[in-house]
Formats: sequence, C-alpha cells, structure tokens
Amino acid sequence: MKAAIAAVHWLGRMLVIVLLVVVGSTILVRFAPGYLTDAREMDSRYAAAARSELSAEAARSRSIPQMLLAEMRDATHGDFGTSRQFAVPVSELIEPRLAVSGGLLARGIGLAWMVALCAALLSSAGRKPSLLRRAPATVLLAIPTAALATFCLLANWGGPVFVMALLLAARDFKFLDRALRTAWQEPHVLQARAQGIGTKRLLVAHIAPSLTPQLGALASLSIVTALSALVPVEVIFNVPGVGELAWNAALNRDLPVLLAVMMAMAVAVTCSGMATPRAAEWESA
Amino acid sequence: MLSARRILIVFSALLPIGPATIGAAQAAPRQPGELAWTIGYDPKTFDPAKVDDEESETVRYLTAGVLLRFNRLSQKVEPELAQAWSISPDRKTITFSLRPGLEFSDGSSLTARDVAWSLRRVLSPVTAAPVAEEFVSPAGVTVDAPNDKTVIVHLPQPVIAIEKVFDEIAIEPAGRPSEGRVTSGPFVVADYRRSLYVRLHRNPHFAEKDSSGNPFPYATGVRLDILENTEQEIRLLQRGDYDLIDSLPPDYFELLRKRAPALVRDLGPSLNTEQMWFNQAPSSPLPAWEREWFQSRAFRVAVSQAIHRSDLARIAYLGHATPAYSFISPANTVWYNRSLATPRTGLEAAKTGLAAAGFRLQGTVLTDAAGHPVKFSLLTNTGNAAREKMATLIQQDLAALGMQVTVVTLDFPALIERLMHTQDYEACLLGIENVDPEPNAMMNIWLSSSPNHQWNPSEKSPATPWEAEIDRLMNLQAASAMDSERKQAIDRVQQIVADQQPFIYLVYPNALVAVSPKLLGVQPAVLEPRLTWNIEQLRIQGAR
Repeated sequence: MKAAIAAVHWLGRMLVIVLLVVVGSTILVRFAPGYLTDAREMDSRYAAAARSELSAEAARSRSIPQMLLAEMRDATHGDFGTSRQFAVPVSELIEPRLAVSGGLLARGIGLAWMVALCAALLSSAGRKPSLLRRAPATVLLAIPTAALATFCLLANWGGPVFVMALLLAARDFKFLDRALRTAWQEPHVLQARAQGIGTKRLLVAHIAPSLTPQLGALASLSIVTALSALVPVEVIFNVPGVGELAWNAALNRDLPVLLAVMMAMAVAVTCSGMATPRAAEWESA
Repeated sequence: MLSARRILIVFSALLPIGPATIGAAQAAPRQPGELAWTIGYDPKTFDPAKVDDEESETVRYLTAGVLLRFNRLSQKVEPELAQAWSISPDRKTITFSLRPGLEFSDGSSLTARDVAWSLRRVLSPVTAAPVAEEFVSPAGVTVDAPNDKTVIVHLPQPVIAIEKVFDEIAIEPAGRPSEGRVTSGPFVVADYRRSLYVRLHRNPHFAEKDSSGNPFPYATGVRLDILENTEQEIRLLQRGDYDLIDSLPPDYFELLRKRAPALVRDLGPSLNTEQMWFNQAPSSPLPAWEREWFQSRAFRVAVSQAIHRSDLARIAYLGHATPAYSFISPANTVWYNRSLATPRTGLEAAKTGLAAAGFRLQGTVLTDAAGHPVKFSLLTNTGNAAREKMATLIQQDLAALGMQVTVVTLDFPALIERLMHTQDYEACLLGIENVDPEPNAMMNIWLSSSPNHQWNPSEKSPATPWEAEIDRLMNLQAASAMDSERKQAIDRVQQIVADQQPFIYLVYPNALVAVSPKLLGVQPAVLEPRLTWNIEQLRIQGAR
C-alpha cells in the first residue's frame, strides 16, 4: 500500500513537471523572435509555399491556450504532432533517434563509470590525496563540453562516446575518490583489514554496501550530466540523435519537435531522480 | 590495500573500448562504383512535383527524367527525354517530340500519355507544385498528347525562358507517382534512412548513352549522407569517404587547400551576391530623420563609396571573391552589363557627397543637418564567418566617415522576422543566392510591389520615380520576345541600381568546390549543382 502511494505520488510529480515543461516551452518558443518566419521566405522559388504554411501556423498559434491544447492533444494521440521543419509526424523523427541517443548515453555512462572507478580505486589506494592524480579531473571539469568535443574533432581523435565518457568520468572520479577514501578509513573496514580479510572480500562485503546510496545518487547525477552534454556532443559530431534534433528544432522554431524532446528529457530526469531515494530506501530496508 | 597492478590490468583492458566506440555515426559502407557526398538535411519530400527545399531538389535532379535539361556549363537548354521541341511564333504553344524507345526504371514504356499526365499533375492546384508558378498562369495551361510521341503544351500567355521550366518537371508513370522509386532519370531512390542517408541506384533503363554506345549513368549509385558539419565533411572527403563538396565557405576552402591542395578548385565569381541595404520602408518604426538619411541617394552613394570592396574580398573572403557593383555577376556572361558606370569610390568623394547633402563632421562624429549623430546598426546572420568579417570591415570603413555602426548578428529566424515582418532594423548585410542566370528569376526582388523588394517591401505604388522605371523595365523584359530589347532593359536596370544604390553590392563570392582526384568526368560549372550537373558522366576511377 505504502509502495502504491509512493508510486502515485511519484507519477503525479512527474506529470506536473512534464506539464510545466510543456507550458514553459510552448510560451518560450511561441514568443521567441522569428517563430512565425521561414528561411524560404527569402527564396523566390519557395517563398509562396513558405508564406502559405506560415499563415496556417499564425492562425493556429493566435491563442496560447488553444495552442497548448492542440499540442497536448497531439502528444496524447501518440504522434506528437507534425514537425514544422520536416512536415512528418514527430514520433517518426524521434523514435529512431532515441535508440541512437540511448546507445550514446549508455556507452558514455558505462565507459565513464569504469574509467572513474578504476582511477578512483587506484587513487584511493594512496595514503594521501595526490594533487597530481586529481589534477586531470579538475582540468577536465573546467573545460566546456563543446570545447572538448570541438578539440577532439579538430584533432581527429576521439568521438562522441569518448567525449561523453571523459566528461562524466572526471565528475564521477572526484566523487568516487572521496567516497572510497572515506570508506577505506571506516572503523569497521580498518578492523576487518587488521584481521587480515582480503581486498576482494573487503570491497564486496564492507565497502560496496556502505557506498550503495551514494552510488545511486551519483548514477542519477551521471544521467542528468550526460543529458546536458547530449546536445553539444551530438551537434559537433553530427550524431543523428535526439540532442541534434533538439538543436535543429530550436534553430528552426520547430515547436512540436522541441516539446516532444523536452518531455522525453523531463521524464528521463524525473526517473533518474527517483532512483536515488529508492536506492537509499532499499539499502535501509 | 588494493593491488594497484590489478587495477591497472583492468583499466588497460578497458582502454580499447574507447577507440572502438568513439567514431561519429557514419552512414552505410560505400558500395562498389557508388558516388558519395553530403546534403545538409533530410529531404522534405521525394515527390518530384512537391519539391520546395534544396535537399529534395538535389534528389529530384539525380532521379528525375525531364523533357529538356538546362546545361549548367554551356548555359543552354538541351533535349533529354524530348528529342526535339518547337515554340510557335506567338510563343504560346510548345510541341515536344519524344525519343523512341523510352522506358521507366521498372521497364514499362514511357509515352506521351505519361508526359501529359506528369505535366497536368504539376499544373493542378491540388498538387500545389511550386514549379507551377513558373508558368505564370498555370490554371490556363493545357496539355495534349495527340499520339504516343508528341506532347503539345498550350500557354495562355507567353512565358520568358519557358524551356527551362521543363528542366524541373519530372516525368513519372501516368497514375503511379512513386516518390522517386520509379523514374525516367539516371537514378532511382533505393533506400532512405532518416538523418543518415539517401541511397540511389542506377536506373538500368535510362535512355542516354555515351558516344561509344555505353549506357549512362556510369556510377552504380549515389549515397547522399545527411551531414551539416563542414569540418566533418572535409575530413571525410580527405579520407576518401566522400567524392565531392559542391560548395565550400572560404575559410574551409583555405583549410582544405593547406591540407590537400589537389582537392580544391576556385571556379571564380559565382552568380551569388553579397550586399547591404538600408531600411527605407515608411512603415518601419525608425525615427523620421533616420529614414530620411536612408532615403537620401547621397547618403547611400557615400556609404557605397567609402567601402573598400577589394579589402572585403581579400580579408573576409581570403581572396576568393570579386568586388561587386551590380546584381548580375560577370559569371552571367549573357546579362552582365560590362559598360556599367559606377559612382567614383574613395573616402574624399564620399565626404564631398555627404557635405553637399547637409551632413557635417563634428570632431569624429558625422551629424545630419539637424544635428543628429549618424549612427545605426548593421544586422547580419550568425554562423557566416565571411559575412561577419565583412560587417566589421564595413564598420571600420564607415567610421572613417564619422558614422557609428554597431554590428548585430542574429540567428536566421530572428533576422527574417525583422526583415520581412516587423521591418524593425536600420541596415542589413546579407547575400542572395542566384541559381538561375535568367534575370526574370529576380523579378521578385526588383518589382516594387514584391514582399522581397527588401529596402521597401510590398509598395502599393512605386515610392520613387527610379523604382517606377525599374518596374517598367522589368515588366518590359518579361514581356519582350526580342533578346536585344531584353538585354537593353536589364542593362538599364543595372545602371539605375548602380546610380541609386538601394542595394550596395559588395562582392561576388567565388564558387569554391572540392573534388576527389578519383572522381572522373567532372566538368565544374558556376551554376548549381556545380559538380554533379552531368551526374550521368561521373564515375570513380577504376570502377567502370
């Protein structure tokens, strides 16, 4: 019963967040400069077609409440409306891209965690925090995602997964290093080590359980960080994912596409946020 | 404590995962004999009748069988599916004779019935084909097919350069529009993966053959990757993944020239122009005195005189542009006015002109007769490095006259809103891409009633006598059947524009392309598509 109430509460919260995202995005895009324009207006060959599409859009978007209702109706009908830029159902644009972005996120996060975990285990094995070991992570955290991606592209080395993993690994490493260093100094771990328990058993039986809630929080943070890096990484490396679609939609004021992407992002962030308290609850249970 | 050696082993085992997974998403591997290059976005449609964007137009060009083809190199119309055509003396009737033995890509016969059906479909308001407007009054056009080999098109009124319109109309099987899957052109659409690529296969029934009787096209197919990233594009061209880049910005051209000089070619001035103009629209929300400056010929001419066009070409375009004084480029050999008289250039001439018009230099600030300091913003679009550099150079040039110019860059939708809808701007720097050398294609810019008459759009009646004169001359050339009369009218329009400077033409950017040395049969042309206009003759070395 308690679990059901919690689930309803969580679903309600997610619904409210998605609604806020829809309303906020619609108003922002509708009043963004150039919403009722089309680059083809400047081209004599296509100007007439562009103007007729624009007048239809102007009629549709005259009233914000009506526009919101129309967008919600499209969203609930499953195809999320029709893209202004590509003139196809939004679902047709998003579905193949979800797999691409999902793959990029999964590989990026997976690789980042493995690199960060290995580096943190190595680093925490030292007696004192070494500036030399932590410096690369600090430098990486100071570099903007787009700058790192552009550097890799120009240097013809690395790619979207690499950049994503590097950025996440830097953040994860700092957290994991600190958490592991603290865990190694816990009294019960020191006691166990003094009793001659092996490293493998120490990690599995003593360190991992005490780190679980923190790792849950870090996992959720990783997803949010990766989502925020998705747009620049996909745009710079021309990865045909949701981030690139969102960028193009923003440049072309393609409201239906933007709304669908924003809703997907809101759901992903809400779900990842939910994982943290659940992990802590399971741990304490 | 944990063994560092063990961790290093695990870590080093993970390292190969990086490089193995880092490559940016690439399209399908290239098939033998297949050509490959990029288009910026997904085509909006594969229906050749409904094309209204560049990417769809590229696919149509490669797949559509057309009655007549406009040769981009010779700039002349040539027969394709039609072996001959004739235009009646009153220029209202066009008769096409089809080649014998024509077939669609699925092996079915192509007859006059298919041609008539395709033309009627394009002309029908239900199709809403953008190309229909080129017939001026599409509703009045009728098409007859008296026999299998003859098609007759009746026009309600003569249309200038009507033959070229047939270069844009794909002939499809009657009653079976297939969105490029069944065509009479060199290729057919075989596969499309959204955001990744469009793959075309050779049409085995394409009618044309080379002089030795070998069937065209030589290439087995074409793969158009969807990629809008010039840096990636040139990297992949260098790697051999792509065969050509049809248009390069000057900075990337130079970058590629340094890396691989054999790949790049500067074809000289293109048909495109870069120009700035002042907002003269009475409906604009500008103060009256500013509008007065912009409506003053002396002011516009002085600005034009003070701009060092050769510096724009040398610095902003890295030498890959030609100073411009007219809306028609020297690349347009037929229509360019070679005896154009342009206002004297130079700072002193500009200062003299401004002084005569009542402007005064007070210290370093130019003021008008009422004492208002001359300052305005110059809008341009973000993302065009050459244009942004030009804006800065113009800012410097005009500072020498005492004008304070603020350069403002906006993304395209915001810019278009100001230009086309609110008219809330002072000056603008943009370019015009001319795909058609025929001056009739520029009617929408020069007619004062047009929404694309940028300095004062949609005038109810011409605001000035010289605009009325341009209207008269443009309408005259559009109605005239005599080439000499048309040329005279267009020359005069060029002279009026040079005298009045409603658009201050700055440079003609050069046509910059890149071609793989392995691509054979390329005959670059200034007109688009520059490298693939003779697509049926292109092939990869050793793949024939």
